[in-house]
Amino acid sequence: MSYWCLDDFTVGRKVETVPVKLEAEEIMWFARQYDPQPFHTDPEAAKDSVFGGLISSGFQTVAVATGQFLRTGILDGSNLGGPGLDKIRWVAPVRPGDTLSTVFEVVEARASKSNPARGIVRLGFTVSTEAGVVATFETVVMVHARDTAAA
Amino acid sequence: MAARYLEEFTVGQVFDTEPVTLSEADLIAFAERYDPQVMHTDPQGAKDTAYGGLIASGHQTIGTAFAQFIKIGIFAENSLGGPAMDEVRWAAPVRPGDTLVTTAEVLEVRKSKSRSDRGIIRMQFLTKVDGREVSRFQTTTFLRRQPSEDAA
Repeated sequence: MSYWCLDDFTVGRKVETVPVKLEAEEIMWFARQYDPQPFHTDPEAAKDSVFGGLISSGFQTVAVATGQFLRTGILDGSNLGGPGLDKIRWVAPVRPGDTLSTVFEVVEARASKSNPARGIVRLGFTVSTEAGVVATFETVVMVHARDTAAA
Repeated sequence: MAARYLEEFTVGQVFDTEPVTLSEADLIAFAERYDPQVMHTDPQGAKDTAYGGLIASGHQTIGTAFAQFIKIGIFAENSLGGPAMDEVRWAAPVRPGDTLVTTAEVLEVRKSKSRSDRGIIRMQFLTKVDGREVSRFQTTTFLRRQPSEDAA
């Protein structure tokens, strides 16, 4: 997929990314460094937790979705950075062996007021397993506006 | 620090956490999996980006901040998981060797209406490098309430 400039981000445009399976080893690798709670790091202790077994860190679920989004290549060459995320909701646990499928949709796209060469795009993400939605969030990215000289 | 119940938190309390330094290898290992962009994965290629060199994924910065808070042990077994995070802002780049200093402030504490054994705590995280803000975010966590004496 070639990269998108501002004009390509039409509101409502939706892309499915390549699903990715999350194994226990990767869940624990992430959580030991970034979310060291027993239900993310210790399969035995996790059995006695409210979740009844190991679950992934919510930070990891969001990061996995972001990785799959970037691997579509739509920002290659046009990414000017991301100022943040918002409205992250973790609605169901992710367990070892679950396959995460991420879909993102264009929520808003506009030219920057201060710099017309730049576009500001808001994307809505939905992450699901076979059982249903596990997480939703929004991210803002800044991209190149369409190069008028090349048109 | 011993684990605390919901009732032991008050709005405005601020918790300091242990500073932590991320290496170039830490940055690349994270970004190759979760944020595969040149400025996060390739020290040479990153020089030609707007950042002029390798910078940490913002996802890694917020995860690192949260881990430092969890490590003080104040939530520990009383945490029943988190349903939400809001207003994540990356204000400035984090570079290899930077030392991240994170504080967590209590924004809101309330009892659950539907579950008598727990409540909801919202925290504002703020991470600085050399006194300058690099990121902030708000978390929402379900936390156990003090067991009642009748039940004990």
